[in-house]
Amino acid sequence: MSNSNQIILSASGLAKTYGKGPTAVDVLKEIDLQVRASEKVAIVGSSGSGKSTLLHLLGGLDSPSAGTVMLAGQNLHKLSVSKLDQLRNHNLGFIYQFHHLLDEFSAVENVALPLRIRGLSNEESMERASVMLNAVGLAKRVQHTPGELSGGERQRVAVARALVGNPSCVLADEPTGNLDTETADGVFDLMLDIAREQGTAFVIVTHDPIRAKRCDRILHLERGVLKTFVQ
Amino acid sequence: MSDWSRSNRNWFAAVQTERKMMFIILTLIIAVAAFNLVSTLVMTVNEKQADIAILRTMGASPGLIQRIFLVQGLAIGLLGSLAGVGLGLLIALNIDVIVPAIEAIFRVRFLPRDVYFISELPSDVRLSDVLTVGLMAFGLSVLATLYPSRRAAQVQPAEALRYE
Repeated sequence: MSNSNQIILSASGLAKTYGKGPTAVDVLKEIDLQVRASEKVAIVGSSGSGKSTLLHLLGGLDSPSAGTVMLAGQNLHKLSVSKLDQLRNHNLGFIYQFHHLLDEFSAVENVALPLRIRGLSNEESMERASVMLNAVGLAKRVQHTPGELSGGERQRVAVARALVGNPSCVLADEPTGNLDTETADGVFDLMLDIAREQGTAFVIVTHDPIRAKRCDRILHLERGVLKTFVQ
Repeated sequence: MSDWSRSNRNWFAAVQTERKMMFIILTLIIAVAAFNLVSTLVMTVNEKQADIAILRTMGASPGLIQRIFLVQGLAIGLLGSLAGVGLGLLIALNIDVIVPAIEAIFRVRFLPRDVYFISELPSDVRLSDVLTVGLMAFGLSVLATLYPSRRAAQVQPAEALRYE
């Protein structure tokens, strides 16, 4: 397990501009952020403040207009595509507001995907995926397809998929935004519990101030600038 | 010296023209089928943008995404070619039953005895023809798969997820 003071993910001078000339929109300006191992960071902000763009940049899914993102000691935007894919597979997990499970596959197959992409055998991947589904309380739903699961269960499967590869950091974009309060509480508790057990760092974008308070740190994204939240 | 093709030069030329036209028509039919496969696969790629993006977030390489759609296209192409060859052989080997049946149903004669030298449609199945047509169909489906699969590999995950 990684040292809790070790910085897993960091961004410095990160900026993103869409468009050019007078119509250009500065979505993110000079973002500096450091996430330590097993730290839970909440990012709050109004719609359109650039939260999702920030997560995409942190995950190396989009390239910044300026600045750098370092993940596990490597500059994401200087890596080749294949190196970046490998780094993402080993170090990052993603959870979205909508579960984004593959409809044709069963829960266990969905969870096994990151491991299959990593190159593990089908048997090992499925076994580890089953264990993970057990950990999120879905031992009896292993063979069900997303269409046969409830909203909360689907999101649990998505949590299991993000964590099955034992990543050092999970980027969650409003992971409970689509669920009712009770179900959302369950999924959020589950995320934090597993994160604690595995020592995974979390960057959680959320609208919900109560859930944000349960994280170690709250950052406020306002007009593209990240500020530490002071009550 | 004189042979059939020289003494009946006009008829022979007409048969040759008919052959060429048939070739063009059949080629167009195959082209339509190939474009059908291209558009089906392009639509699948568009529908699956979010799934492709999610696979990319898990670390799937563009090459892997391309292979997924290549395999899908090749599977469709292989099944289609095999089914086409099978059906074609079935018809070719039973042409002596099928043609009279159609003639009886629609009350037409395809080859009137007083016009043509032959009154029946002969069918000569040659292995080389079957192989050529089968491989051509499969080869075209391989070509039809290249563009959609490349498109799938080029999906930008951040962009695809932004519109979800």
